[in-house]
Order: sequence, then C-alpha cells, then structure tokens
Amino acid sequence: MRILIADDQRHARSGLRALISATLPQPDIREAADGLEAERLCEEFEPDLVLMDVRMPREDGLAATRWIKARLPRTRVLVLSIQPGNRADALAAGADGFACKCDTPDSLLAQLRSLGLPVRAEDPGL
Amino acid sequence: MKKSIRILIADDHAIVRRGLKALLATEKDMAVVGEAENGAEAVEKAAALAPDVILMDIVMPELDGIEATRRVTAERPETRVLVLTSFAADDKVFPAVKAGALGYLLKDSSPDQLLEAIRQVHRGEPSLEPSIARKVLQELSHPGGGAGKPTADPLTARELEVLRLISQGLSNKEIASKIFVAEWTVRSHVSNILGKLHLASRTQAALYALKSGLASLEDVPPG
Repeated sequence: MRILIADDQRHARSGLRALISATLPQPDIREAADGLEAERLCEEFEPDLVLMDVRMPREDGLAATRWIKARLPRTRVLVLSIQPGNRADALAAGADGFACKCDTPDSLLAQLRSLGLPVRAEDPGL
Repeated sequence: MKKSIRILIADDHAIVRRGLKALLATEKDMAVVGEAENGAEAVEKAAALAPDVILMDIVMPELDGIEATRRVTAERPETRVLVLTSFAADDKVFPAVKAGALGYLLKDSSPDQLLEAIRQVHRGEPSLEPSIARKVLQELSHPGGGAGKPTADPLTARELEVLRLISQGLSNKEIASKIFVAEWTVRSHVSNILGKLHLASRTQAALYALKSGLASLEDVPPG
C-alpha cells in the first residue's frame, strides 16, 4: 500500500508513520511537509491513501485535497485537523474522511477501516 | 552504567506523543516514563514519576503548558521543562521562560536538535531555538523593547484600573487611597503590570497606557 503523510509537524509525521507501519501490511510511506509537496508526491507516487493535515505552509491541506481528488480520484484522502470544525470544509473539498488530531489512534484506525483499508489491530506491546 | 534521562511527554495529540516516543526509543540514554494529554495530568504525573525532563506542549486543555510548567518547577525544581510547541510568538515564549522552562523548541525542529535540547536541559543548560534566543536576548538588552505586545496573561480589571491611575501621575499611596486598598497591594499590582507588559518603569507604563488608549492626555493633570 502506498501512503503519503502530509503534515508540517515532523513529530506528527513520525507518529503517523509509526501507527501506519504497525497496522497496515507492508506500507510504502512517503512524507510531505506542505500542500505543494503533497501534490508533487501524489503525481509521482500515486498513493492509495493520503493523510492530510489542514494547516500547512505554502499550500493548505484543503487546497491540496481539492487538487488531488480532481486528478487522482482513486486516491483516498483522510484529512486530519486539530479543529473539529474543519470537517465540513474537508468533505466539501472532496476528502473521503475526516479525523480530529486529538482523537485516539484507535479512532483514526477506525476511520481507515471505514475507507476500506486492511487495517490490523495494533500490537498492544508497541 | 549511566542512568537514562527519564522523560515525560505532555501533548494533547496522541499522534505527536507517539512520534516523540518513536524518536526517543532510538536513544540509549533516554527513557520515556510517562505521557500526559493535558497540563493537569502533566503536573500529576510529574509528581508521581519524578521525570528528569518534561517535553511540554503549550496549548493543551484543562491546564495549559505554561501554567503546568509553573506548577511543576515550583514543586520540583530539579525537573527540567523543555517546551515543544508550534508557537514562536512573544506571547508564548516569555511566559514560558518566566514560568521556569529551561528550553523552548519549535515542533518542526530536527530530531537531532530535539535530542540535543533534551540532553542540554537535563544538564541544567538552557536550550533555545536560535530565533527564540534572539528574541530573548533582544528583550534583555532593550528592556521594554517588546513593550505593549499582547501577552498570554492579560491585565486584570484591577490592574487596568491601576495602570490608568499611574498614567494620571498618582503615586502608589494616592492610588491605594483612591481604590481603597493597602499600599503594598498597589505595589504588587504595579509589579504584575510591569511584568506582564515587559516594561521597566512606571513611566513606560504610563506611556503604554496613553499609547494604547487606556488613558488620554486629558486625564493627565497639568504639571
């Protein structure tokens, strides 16, 4: 599975990478620190899933979501935000799902399952 | 065998805590002993776990990282706080440093920068992101140079009242008489006002009040 993680916060990207690595089968993960880099990597990499932060420099996640969904309709985009209020805007931009960054990892995994991804339960030892 | 640096991670985002844990797990001289998802939990766990270093986010529910820092460092000064935040703004930096944080790093710092900052504060050395260090040095070399900038700790209604009376040229004794409090209470209010606004003197405070519209020249008695 090809996964793109787009977030300007390095530690958030690391956390998402750790979670994805523990729960998806053999993921191929790339990272972007802003919306423009996310678009460039999507063109090159054609990910199955993008985990997209909203607030990023150069171009925000909602604009990047619109761009990606217009060109790569099969790429699923899950928008992540610290503001629950961004849900409506994320869905209007074409996102396939929305999760709040303050949600638990289990809640995020449930969202990924609802998008049809083969998420396995996380090893509690991790 | 050298003891590991015992670290408590305080951040309201589980994903960020996970990312930090994953990074620290690679270091032989560091051990994550606990996590907190808000400032109140950070204070509780600091008391229970006695960590060497706390990685403290600022914006957290229940109790923010600045107040949590103040409480932790007051109760246990040997615990070092390294603020790790998205904010480089003055209204977060100075309160964090005043609350007792020994380090202040932005969340987009590199893993190496973070690891080095943890080791530095563990040794008792301050660790400030270069852009933050510049702000702090500027403030120290030009006290009041940051005057009037909004702070995370706004003036109370009473402090605003005292500030207006300062701008009218009243002494502490006159202010105390006017608002029916003890003179030492007025001194305390003045001290808080100067601290919150990063000002060095009553004169600067009076000028600030005039500049920000809290007082007008008509209020100032003829000299």
